[in-house]
Amino acid sequence: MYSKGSPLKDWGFLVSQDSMDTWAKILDDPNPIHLDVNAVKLLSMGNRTINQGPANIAYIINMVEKNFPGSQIKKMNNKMTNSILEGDLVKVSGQVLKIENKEGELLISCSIKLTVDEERVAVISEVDVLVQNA
Amino acid sequence: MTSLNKNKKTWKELMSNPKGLPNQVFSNLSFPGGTFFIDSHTNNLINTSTGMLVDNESLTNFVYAHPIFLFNSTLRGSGASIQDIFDLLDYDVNNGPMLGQCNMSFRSRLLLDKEYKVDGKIVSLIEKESKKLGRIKVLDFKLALIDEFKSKVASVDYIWILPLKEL
Repeated sequence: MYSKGSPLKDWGFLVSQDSMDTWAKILDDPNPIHLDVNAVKLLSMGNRTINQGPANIAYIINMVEKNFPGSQIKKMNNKMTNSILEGDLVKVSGQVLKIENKEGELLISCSIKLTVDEERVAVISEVDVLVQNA
Repeated sequence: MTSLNKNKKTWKELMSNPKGLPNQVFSNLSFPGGTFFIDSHTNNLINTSTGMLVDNESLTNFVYAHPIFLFNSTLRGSGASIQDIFDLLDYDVNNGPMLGQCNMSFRSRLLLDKEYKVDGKIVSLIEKESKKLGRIKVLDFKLALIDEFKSKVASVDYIWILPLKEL
């Protein structure tokens, strides 16, 4: 059972070029920084392709679902602070900030971040999730 | 209605000649609007490409879409693709545009195999100096999903960072 300050269970994923290719189709987004490492080099943006922002947000949503199965996200504010690159092993971690009782349901506010190697923070999220009060 | 609003051009009119338009012309510009069908196949692609193992024995997984669908349904159903938005702004996608913020709110869950109406508007386009990226434009726009009862199901506010090529 969660309470204010409780850590959430971490969630991890290895980002591949295949998944970025899939996301380019899902989003109908031709931006070459996700698909072509030469385009990334040409723009002086590094040596690896850059993951799509919404995929990064999806990892956080997956972590929320794993922590609160069957819950409903009500609000999710995401600030993108760094890039996730092809080959990165990402980690989603967070904690409970606040719990409100809402007529038989709990509205749980969480602070969550998506990181690589503990140092590179790629997304900072504030998420309000509605869960059944068992 | 002010004379400024009366004279405001539509998305389609601006798209006909998007060269050299001032940033202010895009403020409060409505998207063309459209619809988006949330399909199970794309939902599966989203789940598998983000490492989400779906429990096929859970009925909810056949009813509710992955919440990130709010992102692609609003962008793809707005009547303008990401490329269309950049074309409208006369912005070269090869400069490497990036999503800066994405704030989503849901009144209810998104349903699979369901069509939603999409509408929204550009809030603002401003030019500024970034310590990290140099000269940039910041694009702020909002899109919403509307159900068949004309109720807003979910909405999202996007802020994109558009690096400008140094002259």
